[in-house]
Amino acid sequence: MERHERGSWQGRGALGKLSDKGNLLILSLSVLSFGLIILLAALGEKRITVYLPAIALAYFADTLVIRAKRRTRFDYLGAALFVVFVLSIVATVI
Amino acid sequence: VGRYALLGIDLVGLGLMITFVSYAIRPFVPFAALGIAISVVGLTTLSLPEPSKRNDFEIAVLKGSVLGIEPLLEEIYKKRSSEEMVEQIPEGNKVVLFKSWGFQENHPVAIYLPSGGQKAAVYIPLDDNSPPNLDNVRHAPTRLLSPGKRQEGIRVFTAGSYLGLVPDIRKEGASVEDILRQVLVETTKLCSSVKALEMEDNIVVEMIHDQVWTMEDTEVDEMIHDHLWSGPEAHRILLGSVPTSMAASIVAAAKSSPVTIEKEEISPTRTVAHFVLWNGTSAGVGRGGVLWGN
Repeated sequence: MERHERGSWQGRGALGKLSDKGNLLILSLSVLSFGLIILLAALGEKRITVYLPAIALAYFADTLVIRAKRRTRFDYLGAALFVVFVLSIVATVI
Repeated sequence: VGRYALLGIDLVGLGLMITFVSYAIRPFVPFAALGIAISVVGLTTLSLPEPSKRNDFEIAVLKGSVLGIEPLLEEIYKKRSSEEMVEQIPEGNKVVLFKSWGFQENHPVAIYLPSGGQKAAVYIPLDDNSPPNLDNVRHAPTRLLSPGKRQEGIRVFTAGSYLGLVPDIRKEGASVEDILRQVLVETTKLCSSVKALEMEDNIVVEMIHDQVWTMEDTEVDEMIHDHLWSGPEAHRILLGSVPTSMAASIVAAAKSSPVTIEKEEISPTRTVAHFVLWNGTSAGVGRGGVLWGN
């Protein structure tokens, strides 16, 4: 293979690390959940039962789009967030 | 402690602290939510497996095993190379290898055999007059006979010969793609990702190797690229590139069926290999028997 062709994959640098799904999941989840919190805070929201479903939704949406490999087959964190999500919705509605 | 574990623990600790302070000591709901979000990110980080580092020792051992059979392959290549066996067609920045079968169009270059409880061999036909059948293939000699003696083919043992003996390879419910990923991505780190598509007797495997090459590790990268990805010439021509050869061994072991490489497309970041399962007769797999038909 010619050396000049190698440049196409050598030049990936730090951005290339984002092609690792784990890194991408952490970064996108941070941006999404922190963004939602800032948005809700800017709207003057003061109920924690509104913030919690937003965090849970951010997690579900992100893990649905970026299917990174996990240590365990069962998503315990997802299950816990689902319970929190349901309880928060129930608390908000009631 | 790995990188993800350390980051995860730090984030969970920070998140809990912020939540506690902003909920119990100085109540401020958005900050408490921020703390919870940081904890969630931390727990997500903890749930990720540590990114595996490429093990240069494994690579060196693999390289050695590839080079070990190269002299034999060169001899076989010379014996067969009275006519062009493999057509190399440059397509943009990739090379497509069509195994269009040397001296007779319907003969394969190599047949990857399943292990059958022993180390698995690859059969390379030397004689174009008789199409290979399973008995000949299984009992073919493992060395080149003296020039006066008739020899239909030879069995060689490749880097993937022992893969079929690993119990996990025939694990219940494991797909070919899972096994390929385990060997090529997680163990040898020859690829960053692998996809496999099965269509009856045909299996197409896409191997992405964009993450293998990094700025930091140029010398090792060159070693891997020059000697493993493309492989020495005779290896590449007779058995395919090293990852493709290993993938063929894995497919043969997982499917318990002989396998041939129909086509291999190699580009700097991606290799696509087309495999055909052989059903055990001399006439008939894939493409209506084009490869094997008489």
